[in-house]
Amino acid sequence: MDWQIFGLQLMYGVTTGVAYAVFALGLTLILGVMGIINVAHGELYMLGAMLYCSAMYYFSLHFLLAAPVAILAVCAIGAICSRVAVEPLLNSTKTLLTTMLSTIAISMSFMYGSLLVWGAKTVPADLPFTGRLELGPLFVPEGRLVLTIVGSLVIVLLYLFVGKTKIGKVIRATAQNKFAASLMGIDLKKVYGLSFTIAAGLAALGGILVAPIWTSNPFMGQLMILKGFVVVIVAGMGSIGGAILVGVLLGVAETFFGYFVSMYYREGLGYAVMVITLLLRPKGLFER
Amino acid sequence: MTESSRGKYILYGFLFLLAIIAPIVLTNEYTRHLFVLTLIFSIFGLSYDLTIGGMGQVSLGHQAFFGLGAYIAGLLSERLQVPVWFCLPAAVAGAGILGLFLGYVSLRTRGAYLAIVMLGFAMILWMITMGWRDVTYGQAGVRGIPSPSIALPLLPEIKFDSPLSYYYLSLALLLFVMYFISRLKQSRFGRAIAGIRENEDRAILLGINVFAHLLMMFTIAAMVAGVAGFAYAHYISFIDPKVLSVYYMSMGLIMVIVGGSGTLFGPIFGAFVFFFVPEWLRIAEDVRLVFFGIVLVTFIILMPEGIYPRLVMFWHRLIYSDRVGKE
Repeated sequence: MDWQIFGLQLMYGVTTGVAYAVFALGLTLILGVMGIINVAHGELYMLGAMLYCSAMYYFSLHFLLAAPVAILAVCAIGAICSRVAVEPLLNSTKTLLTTMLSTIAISMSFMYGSLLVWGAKTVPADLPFTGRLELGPLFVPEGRLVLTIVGSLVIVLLYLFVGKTKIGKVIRATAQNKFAASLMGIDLKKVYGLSFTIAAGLAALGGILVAPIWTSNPFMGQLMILKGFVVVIVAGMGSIGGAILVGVLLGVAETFFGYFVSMYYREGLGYAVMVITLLLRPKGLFER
Repeated sequence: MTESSRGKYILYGFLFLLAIIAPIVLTNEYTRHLFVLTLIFSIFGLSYDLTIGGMGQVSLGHQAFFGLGAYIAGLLSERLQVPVWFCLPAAVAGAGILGLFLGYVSLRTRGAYLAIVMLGFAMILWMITMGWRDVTYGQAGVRGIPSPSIALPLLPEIKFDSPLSYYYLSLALLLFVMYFISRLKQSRFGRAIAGIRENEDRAILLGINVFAHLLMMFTIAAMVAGVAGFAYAHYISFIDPKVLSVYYMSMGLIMVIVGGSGTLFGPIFGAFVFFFVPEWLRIAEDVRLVFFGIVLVTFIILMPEGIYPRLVMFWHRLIYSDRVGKE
């Protein structure tokens, strides 16, 4: 095999994988802390990308201003969703199912709502980082480079935040045992709201990072949430390190599968991996 | 006959008469079309509710069985000119076999995992339908699926090619499915399923083979969804990979949750709401799912049992108004 092709595929795989990891991090954070699966996560990601493009196109903001604006807007939307549609359902025996249903409903409203607002096409904003960069023998799209650098940075920052800070300790304590955490004087409602907001921000950041390399449209969240599910389930409940590893590996595996086996059935690879994992290890690979 | 069951039979008789008369009184073709869709998707909603209300598990891939039923019925009659009535058992069997296989894999998990695994399977099926163009026509879809007809000796041939005639065909199918499900729920098997739903550990301790029971129920739900797929394919006469999309799953969820899960009439009521309320409120096709998404959130949070149980309560107040609160 030509090593140049190999290098190119590896680069595409790793960059795609970083996007999956950033996306899945929010999903796995919510799953770990609140014990729910947020189906609307894909729509938050879509809203991030669409708001970012719209802020640049309709309000002609600089991209360095448009990105934080979009992230903050999606954080606010996430916080509202959490307060209105998720937290009231948290104290029942069927929490996992009822919250899944309510987040599906939210995702439906957001997806078809954005279809009404933006139509089934991308916002023709003049995005930065659409060019190519010559790195030695490889031509790397700038967008993918930015995605990898910013994505890895955010992953490291989140890892440090959860692992080293006091708030991170509170989040970990809640994930470990809600009852004990509440006995220690932790306000669970605040922790839930905070984790959901952070997750929404991560989703929005993911959307902004992929906007220059993939087309952004109201349906992009649907495709991504399926990858997110695959990563979260294969990695196991709320395992942050596992989600990062599995996310990157999934990106690489998909790219190589697409190049060497079948471009068309590439999307099915993740589901196949997920099913096999569940059969062999029903709780995921990195379940603590 | 106890008094409460008398009230129930009055209600059933009333609804049955209403169902028979409705399309004769309402002569508008579009209204009739909506009624047919309501009946067909009631079957789908009922089958979905066998997993949601029956087993207490939400699968996000139930559209796979509906779509497979529709594709089997459509392709058999369009490609191989198989008689339409043979397509019904074929669609049911096909959906049942798929249900057996997918249930065997996904019922090892519960709750959200089961839901997502099923979603993955439905997406794989959708991908195969899109990609296997030699058989399924891919994205173009199957066109010109014939409508069924009955040719009895000594009688003119009955063709189910208009909304009015198809209404009665789908009503017959729906009534059969309803009868089947109500018998199923009362049977020993149905009670075992209810026991598993309420407390799985207790069911295991009582000696119930939980996996086999759930697998059976899952397969039955898939078969009923196959009936709906058959009815849909031969009514619309055109199907494309969209029948396997998440749209139909969302539709089923709305019907079951808004109507009332675990009841026989809830999903039917939900289907009625899904097709008629947007018409009355003059909501455009595009805004429909936005509207229903909000409705669904409201229902899950404020009225998780759905509309139908409330209606029953109202009906009881109406006929036993002097004794409310004494029972």
